[in-house]
Amino acid sequence: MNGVTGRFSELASFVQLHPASKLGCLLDTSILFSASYDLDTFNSETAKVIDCLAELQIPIYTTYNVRSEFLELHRRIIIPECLIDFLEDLGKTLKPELVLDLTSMRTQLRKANAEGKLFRIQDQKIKFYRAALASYRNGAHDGWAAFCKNYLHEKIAKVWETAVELLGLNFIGLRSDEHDSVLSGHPSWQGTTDLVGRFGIGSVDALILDVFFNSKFLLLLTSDRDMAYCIETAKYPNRFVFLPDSLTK
Amino acid sequence: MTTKNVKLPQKGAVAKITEIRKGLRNQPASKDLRDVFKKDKDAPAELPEKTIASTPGKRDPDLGL
Repeated sequence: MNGVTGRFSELASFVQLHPASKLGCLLDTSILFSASYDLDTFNSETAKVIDCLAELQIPIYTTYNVRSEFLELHRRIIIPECLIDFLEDLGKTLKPELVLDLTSMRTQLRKANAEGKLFRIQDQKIKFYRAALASYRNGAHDGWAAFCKNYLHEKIAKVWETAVELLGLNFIGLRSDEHDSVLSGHPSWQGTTDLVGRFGIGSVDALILDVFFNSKFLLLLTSDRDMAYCIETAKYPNRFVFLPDSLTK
Repeated sequence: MTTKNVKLPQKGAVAKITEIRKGLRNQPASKDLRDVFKKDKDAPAELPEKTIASTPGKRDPDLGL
């Protein structure tokens, strides 16, 4: 441990010394994403720390807002995967320009995956494909909606459901009266805004931090150095942050 | 949330998530989808230009994780 910051590999010994930490720990989007995507840099380290939490029977908590960030990240990964399935199924029926574009993306995705790297596309590129596919129609059905229904819908729903179920996620909202057993204060938009103003962090990160500082939890797990910086700088008593070992070398 | 309702993580959860995710790939194209993209249909409109994505100074929406 370095002050309030520890490594994932130090978590079990920390919990032995601090039994109160068994109440639960908070996870942010970075760790939930790592847990749900095998090509993420910290996937294997996250797998070990989740196993550690499971062995120690420490429940995982997060906020509802994390879901929107989680879904957004997966949307930008899953849509290109779906578009490649689509290209392979129906490429012969598409305009040559679209086939060329999709083939180029497939090459980039395969190269990234072969190198063990994550591949995702920007929202603007998704809008481009939406417009391109929506220009195909069959009566009331447009090509983009049909594509989403066929390839995307089940996958994106399953990714979130699976994470919630297997990680055993518990959620905390801003209605603090529902969470008396784990909260010591009252998380609020005012507190969240204050953290955005003090540290310049994103609103979803600030909301998790506000919940953390108003909770009875000792632990927050993240692979985001900004989160660790905020916790180190805020100097709230009995608040500790754990990072992947590879980030703390 | 009461203590008895608290859920716990499963050991091996991350490996199981990966396995389930990989199993979701390669869904075949349905008849409805094939009908929309039938080759002998009227030619679709031109592909959209990449004007938004290539606008200089446009904020990168990358979440940065």
